[in-house]
Amino acid sequence: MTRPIPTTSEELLMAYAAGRLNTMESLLAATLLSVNAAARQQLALYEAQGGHVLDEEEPSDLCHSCLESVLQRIDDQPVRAVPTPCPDMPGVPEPLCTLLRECMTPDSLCWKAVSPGMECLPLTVDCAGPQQLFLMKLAPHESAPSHRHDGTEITLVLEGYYTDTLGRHEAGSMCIITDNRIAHSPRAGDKGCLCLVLTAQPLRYRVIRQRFFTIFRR
Amino acid sequence: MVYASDTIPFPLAPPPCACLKNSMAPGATQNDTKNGSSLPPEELLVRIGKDKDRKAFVALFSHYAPRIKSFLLKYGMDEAQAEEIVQNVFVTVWEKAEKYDPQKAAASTWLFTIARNKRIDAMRKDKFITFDSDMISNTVPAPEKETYAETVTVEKLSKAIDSLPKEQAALLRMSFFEDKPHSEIAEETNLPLGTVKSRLRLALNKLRNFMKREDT
Repeated sequence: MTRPIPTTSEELLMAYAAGRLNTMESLLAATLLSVNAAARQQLALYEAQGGHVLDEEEPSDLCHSCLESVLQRIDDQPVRAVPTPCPDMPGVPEPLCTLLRECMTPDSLCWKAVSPGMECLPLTVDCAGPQQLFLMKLAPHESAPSHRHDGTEITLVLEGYYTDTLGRHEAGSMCIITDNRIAHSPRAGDKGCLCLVLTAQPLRYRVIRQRFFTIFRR
Repeated sequence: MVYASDTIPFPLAPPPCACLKNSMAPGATQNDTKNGSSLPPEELLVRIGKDKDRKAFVALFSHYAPRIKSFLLKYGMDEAQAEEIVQNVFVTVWEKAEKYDPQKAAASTWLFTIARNKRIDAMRKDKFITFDSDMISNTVPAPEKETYAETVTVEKLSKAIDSLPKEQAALLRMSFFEDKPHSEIAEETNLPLGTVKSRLRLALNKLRNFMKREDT
């Protein structure tokens, strides 16, 4: 059973605050939060609501040994290991580095050329369902092939900027496309562009559609 | 830092931090001064962080552990599992209290985020990555005009939520406990999806406006 991806940043952050996102959506939200202060402010409000919910709870009885066990555990606590720095990935924010460090094998960290000037690094983890998460790198002034979406597409710009039919998207901004009639072809600015992309369904490139129509007409 | 004592009424001696407006731990009684439990939970957390104060830790546990357990039980887990997560929450509180900043979040908010993350950890086998303030790389600063205090005080928020129409407050609450998208909440409440979304948006806008108004 698949659950739809949130379609607004508000829905995404509320669901994040409530702990309702899946692994990939949460990773996207965490990355947005790491680069965008306005998103952090929004989250602060939602999480404060969570705190309010907690304050309103009627206390439940705990078993007698509960506190003792906790005190025992804090006495026995080992010193925590300091996380190692991120592998060679300039411009990649920390939540993603955590994923790259802890969940991916070096073999799976492999950029794949999609079209001239465009490379993708698949980050799909916990892959139940058709959702896909990937890093997308566009070389300066290069465009991604024009494509449509069968479902929601969320793009978070990490470095540089890109422009498409909807305008210019700067680093730190997030663009959510829910209208499957929109076909777009993001074009990177003069310094190239690095984005984190989550799609509800694999993308359909327009080229393929056109070919399909050509065959159909014959 | 001097904190408001529970004998001084708030209007005469405003506490230095907005978060400490609750001059007493919620639920603490006037006579309950042993173990520092009459202190606000924010102060207890600060003491745990700075001095590894066990008395403060026990006081915080006594107040919040039973509430966190109730909170977890609402997600349909059994007693034993809920208590195990409560223990994990408080081990993390001990470990991370140093990072708690009373200027940024109320104690209940901070504890809520830990409880939420521990619940997710317990439910999943794979690594679940959540945001941590260490991870800030500040690419985009907050728009200045839209800022409301980063600190959303317990008191202010309670007031704001109390000011909401009942059906809006209920939907907000529901969106915390139900592992469901808005479409399913709509089915359950027999409301059209558009209504669920617009009520939630209304509720959030009201909360936001309330926060802004109180700030100025």
